[in-house]
Amino acid sequence: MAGVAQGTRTRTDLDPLPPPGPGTGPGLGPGLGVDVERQRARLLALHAHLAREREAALSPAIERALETAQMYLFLALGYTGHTDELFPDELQVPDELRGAQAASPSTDATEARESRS
Amino acid sequence: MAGALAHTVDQRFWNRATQTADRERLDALHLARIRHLVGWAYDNSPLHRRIYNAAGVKPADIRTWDDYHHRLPFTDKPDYVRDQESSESGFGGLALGPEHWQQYFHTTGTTGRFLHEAFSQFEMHKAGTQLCYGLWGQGARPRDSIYFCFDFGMWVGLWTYYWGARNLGLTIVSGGGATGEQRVRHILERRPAIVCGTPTYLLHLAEIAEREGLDLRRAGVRILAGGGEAGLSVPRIRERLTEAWGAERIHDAYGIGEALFIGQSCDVWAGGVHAIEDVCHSYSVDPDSGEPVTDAGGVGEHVITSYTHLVQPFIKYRTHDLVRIDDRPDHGCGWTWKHFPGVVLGRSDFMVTIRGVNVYPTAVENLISEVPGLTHHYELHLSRRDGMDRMLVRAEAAAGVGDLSDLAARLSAHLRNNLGVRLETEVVHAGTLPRYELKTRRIFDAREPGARAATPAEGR
Repeated sequence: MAGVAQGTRTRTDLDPLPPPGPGTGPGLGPGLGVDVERQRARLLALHAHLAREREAALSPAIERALETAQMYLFLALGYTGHTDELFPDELQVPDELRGAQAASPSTDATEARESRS
Repeated sequence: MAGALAHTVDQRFWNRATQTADRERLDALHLARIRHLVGWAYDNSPLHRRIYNAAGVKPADIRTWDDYHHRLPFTDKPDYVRDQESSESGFGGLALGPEHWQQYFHTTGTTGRFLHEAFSQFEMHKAGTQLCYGLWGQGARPRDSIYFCFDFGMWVGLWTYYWGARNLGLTIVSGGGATGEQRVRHILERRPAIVCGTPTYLLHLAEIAEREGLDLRRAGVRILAGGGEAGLSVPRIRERLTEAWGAERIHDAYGIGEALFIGQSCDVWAGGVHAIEDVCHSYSVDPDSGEPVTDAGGVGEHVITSYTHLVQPFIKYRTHDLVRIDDRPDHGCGWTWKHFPGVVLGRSDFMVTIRGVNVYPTAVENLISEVPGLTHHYELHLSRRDGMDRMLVRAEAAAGVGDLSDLAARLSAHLRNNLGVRLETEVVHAGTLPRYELKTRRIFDAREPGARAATPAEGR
């Protein structure tokens, strides 16, 4: 299964993603415009929904198809100026693995790095 | 795909929101991504952690553009080569291990050392998007077909074009394993909307068609697309291709092996390509001091940070390509992304001093095609005699040109007038020089390795 092959994935520890707030993105508030920001929020929600479906996948075929869908969905996120994560695995790394990789347990990548200056 | 878009969507752009965003918003996005990426690399790439620690820099120190320009160290190809030679994996700068890899590539090895590259599945998807901005702008649409004039190998450039075609929804026709003549016949038979090849090879196919009495213009090809070498942004080459193929559009793509095709033509040709700012940050520096080039029109070394290649991050990476960057282009296409007039103007690490004059081989290459009567086929031969570097420019005449010595004299004069130094020139008959399917080998350096001030590294 893709989750095993990808090493750091999980399908059981995913919490719904928080809605994007003013602290997300490039720090410009609506950044690329209100419409783009709204679409970004909807895409994030859709990503979380896909992640939950992957948890419940009834076959490797479905799981893999949904994983591929998440990759394409992440391309769409990138087009909206999403900067909180740079690739899908960052959205999916579980807390315990994130803690093993990084010195900070913060889930905000930028804040985590700032905390270990 | 396009048919499902709302009528209010501006279909001139692949992604209008970012392609037309103002410079301040784009720079804010870049800074956010760079800060994120520096932290990611520090956490996951031992090479980057070593480089940053050696410089006394932590990710949290990089908060402003001044921090990026002056505190964050550069990275360069030798950093990655040394790392790959000393690491068990055999790869340099790794941040994600083999369990994430989808495909392996290596650079073309112009320096004599391949840089091994690994890409994840997401990275290949994203690499493909890099081509979509330009191809979409040229009028390519889902269900158009694209013909590839290549056998697919280890060079990543072709593969990213293939992934670009997939991402855009094009119908792919492979010319792999075919001869040039067979490819000409395929193209006439399949009538693709787009033909993808290096400029040299596209000209070569036109020669074959002419020799075989076949008219490529009857194939109905709308767009000629390619990259990998200079040519598709050289006016005379564009004219020749347009005439021979009857194409409406010529699409140039500028890439570096480490960050893929990061530059693309727009639909209003202005002599160069735009940086694809959704996938990388570009700026230029003085090659000696490392200081950012700030004067408009100033030539500097291109430095990039890739948002696509994360298995091996490339952050503030010296490409050694000499470029001129217009960071507020206004030639009517609507794109706000930085523009590189003339694309690659030379190589900061490959300069030959001829009788006291610094000569960049790339500059010579660009000048050759400006001489009427010459083709795009040429070779540069470097040698050293009595301690002095010499350069012989061997160029091929167009079919039907009789007086080769006169053409050689005109070439010599054109080079001297533009470079300030006389180079040795030789013009050979049409069809004499070898044709290459991929990146053409044009520079032959016969100097002893120790006598070379620098060697040509990866180019386009």
